[in-house]
Amino acid sequence: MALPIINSRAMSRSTKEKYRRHRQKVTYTPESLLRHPTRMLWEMQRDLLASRELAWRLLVRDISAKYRQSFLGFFWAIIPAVVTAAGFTMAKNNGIVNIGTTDLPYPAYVMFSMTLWQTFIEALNAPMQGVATGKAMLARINFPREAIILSKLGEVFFNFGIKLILIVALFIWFKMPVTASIILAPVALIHLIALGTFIGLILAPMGALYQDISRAVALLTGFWLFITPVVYPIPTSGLFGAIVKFNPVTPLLVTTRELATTGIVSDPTAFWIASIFSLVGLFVAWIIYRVSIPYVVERISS
Amino acid sequence: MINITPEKVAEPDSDNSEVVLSVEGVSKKFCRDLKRSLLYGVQDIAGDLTGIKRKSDRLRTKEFWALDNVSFQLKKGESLGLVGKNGSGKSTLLRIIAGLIKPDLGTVKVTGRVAPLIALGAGFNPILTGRENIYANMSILGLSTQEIDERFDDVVEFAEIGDAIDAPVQTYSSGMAARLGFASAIHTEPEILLIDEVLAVGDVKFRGKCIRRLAKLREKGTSFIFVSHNSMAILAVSTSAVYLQKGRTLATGSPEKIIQKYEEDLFINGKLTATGSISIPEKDSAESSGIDLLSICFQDREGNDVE
Repeated sequence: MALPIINSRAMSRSTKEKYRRHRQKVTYTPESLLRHPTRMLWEMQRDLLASRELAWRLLVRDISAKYRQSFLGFFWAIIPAVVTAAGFTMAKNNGIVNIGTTDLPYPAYVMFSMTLWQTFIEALNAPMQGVATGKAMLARINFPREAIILSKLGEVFFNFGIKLILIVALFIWFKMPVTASIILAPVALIHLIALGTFIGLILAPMGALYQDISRAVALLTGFWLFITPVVYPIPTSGLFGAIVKFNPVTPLLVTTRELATTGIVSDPTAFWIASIFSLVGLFVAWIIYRVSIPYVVERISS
Repeated sequence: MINITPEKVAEPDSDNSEVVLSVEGVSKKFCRDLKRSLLYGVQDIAGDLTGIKRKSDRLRTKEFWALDNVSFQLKKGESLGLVGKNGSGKSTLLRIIAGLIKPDLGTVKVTGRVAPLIALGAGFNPILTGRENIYANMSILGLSTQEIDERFDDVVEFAEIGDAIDAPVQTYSSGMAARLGFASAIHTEPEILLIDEVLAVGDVKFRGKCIRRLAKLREKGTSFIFVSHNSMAILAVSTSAVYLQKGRTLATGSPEKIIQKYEEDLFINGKLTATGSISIPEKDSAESSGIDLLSICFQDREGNDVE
């Protein structure tokens, strides 16, 4: 009885593998997936688990290809925030724009907020880019469709990791105090990324069919930046104040910033409403994505 | 060139053998007008999401049946040849079986892993090395890292890439890249292999190797669906064949019977319009298999060509 113990893990793995391979039965019908919610949910979690390894491979593939073709490499992840901050600081100091006082030194405020904003935009674009670059693969191979999204999200986190260097440098340069609440900042950041992914994932199938989507997104995100407190502090009154407050990015971005710096969350209720909106939305978007992809594949190629 | 492998695969007993693929009354409609096609795509998505599904058995404006009520079964170790002219629905059928697109009517039941040999080198990134691309490609085809590790050396050996494995794929010749793609795909060892006109990969020697490899897989119980315009390839590999015309099953049966019918149709209702002689341009040494046919003709006793 002692013998099987040594090999039990390897044995069970290979028999499990064989079992899985032989019993794997799939039926394709014209019926909507939504008719069998339990089966759909089961398949969703199965594919999410199954796509981890592939997502990792794709992530490694994309990042190594990207940096092998770039001379400046990491530099590109940091520079936009620095340039924006420099521009706005100059404009503010010369009185060209009238911006109220911020709770952080202004250049640091802009750079930090811009980094968060960029991460949000990257998360928003990630699903659309993933589907666009993976079109040929999607059209030819039936792999778990979650993998391209996960790999793109991995890239968003990777890029944020690089941007973290800038943020750490900011804290040191401007001698900003660090509070214990900083350990909660990643939670808020994840909710911010979830919001971006939610919107991107809803648009991704349409974006694969119509180019109008990516153009509209580029245009609207440019405008969106102006109704988000990135280069200015949260406005407290007026119609503009109401618009900024109603913008779901505002509480998520502001809370991330506040948790990382001052430690005082100005509007926890709004944060939780925006968070629940993002997470529930992300789940719904996932279902829509799964349902849509076969129809998209049907139309884009052969 | 086709190497007809002499060793016969043991025919499985038709009563006991398990069905690995069953296609029942599958229909699919397509639209050639791009704008409309995209719009229909959006309509279908909306219909699926809201549950208000339009009657999918009716054609909308400018649609046609790319597949119309196609049925067949494939058992373990069998190999099915699909023949038909371009646009007869062969590739559409393969894509439905692979689960890439949904049928509009009918069902497809699949047991086991399906690997498409349609998409050679899918996910290849020219910047990355052959090694990295093997991992990415086989991972897309559904293998775990451990499984790829186990097969890696075989893939490299089969593809005859050698030391170039650590060079970027963009430095490869098109033949090398294609061989690498084929080698990765064939080493996934699926239950059902879908092969769409890919045996035209590489030189004569490599093609022979591919066909031998396919025969070996069949002995192990892998089932094939094989699409080719090459009648000889179908005859060499298939145990049965389906003849598709404009999306409809025109005939099913033994490969010999189907190929004969297909060729009759190709050559204008059975009249084989052949001239008395054929001459083939001389191949260069890389293409040649050693012995080449240069011309065939009939001569009478005096040595004059007979028309």
